[in-house]
Amino acid sequence: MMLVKRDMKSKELAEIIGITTANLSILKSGKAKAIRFSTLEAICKALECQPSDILEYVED
Amino acid sequence: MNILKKLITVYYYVVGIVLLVSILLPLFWVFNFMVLGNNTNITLPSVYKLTILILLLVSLLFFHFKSIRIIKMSLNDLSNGDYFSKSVIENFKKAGIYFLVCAVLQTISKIFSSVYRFEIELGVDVSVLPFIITGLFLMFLSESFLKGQKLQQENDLTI
Repeated sequence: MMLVKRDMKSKELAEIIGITTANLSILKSGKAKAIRFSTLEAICKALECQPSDILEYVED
Repeated sequence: MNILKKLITVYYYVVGIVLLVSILLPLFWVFNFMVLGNNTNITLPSVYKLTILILLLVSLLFFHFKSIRIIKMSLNDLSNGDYFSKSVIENFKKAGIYFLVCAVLQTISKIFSSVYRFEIELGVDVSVLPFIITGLFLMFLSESFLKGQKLQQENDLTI
């Protein structure tokens, strides 16, 4: 969602925050078990947004 | 790890040869008894008892051989540093169960042979303990590796 708003491609974002596209795909699909604060900080910095803009609580 | 691998391989072949001999030797006795007619001092009930005892011992050796084979297979994964693979976890659990089966079979064969020879002794027989301890230890290792696998998965999925 934020990627579309910022008109940014996944590959671009992955390069900026320093993770692989495979790992970014895991994050986007919600398969990730946890996220490091440094990664979250880098994403927020790159997308110029708050953590609440990219995180969402979904009940199992 | 290499020394352990070599030791297990040597032990694997030793158990395999013993198993082969323990299968071939009774067959030779049967051949001797049935074909050559060397049946002196052999009564029919004793043949039955001996057959059961031999079957128990052969099956004990067979399960021991299988468990050693499984450990030998898992050592290849372990030497590659792949500690938490699914095959290692399953193989260790299987090997542990086979060791426990060996302990049960050894206990049965011991009771059977002592009754057959009328040599019942009072006391605790500790000869099955190595089988039980090894079996339970392998099952414990399998559980530990399973927990390790879950932790590794979590670690891999932390981005």
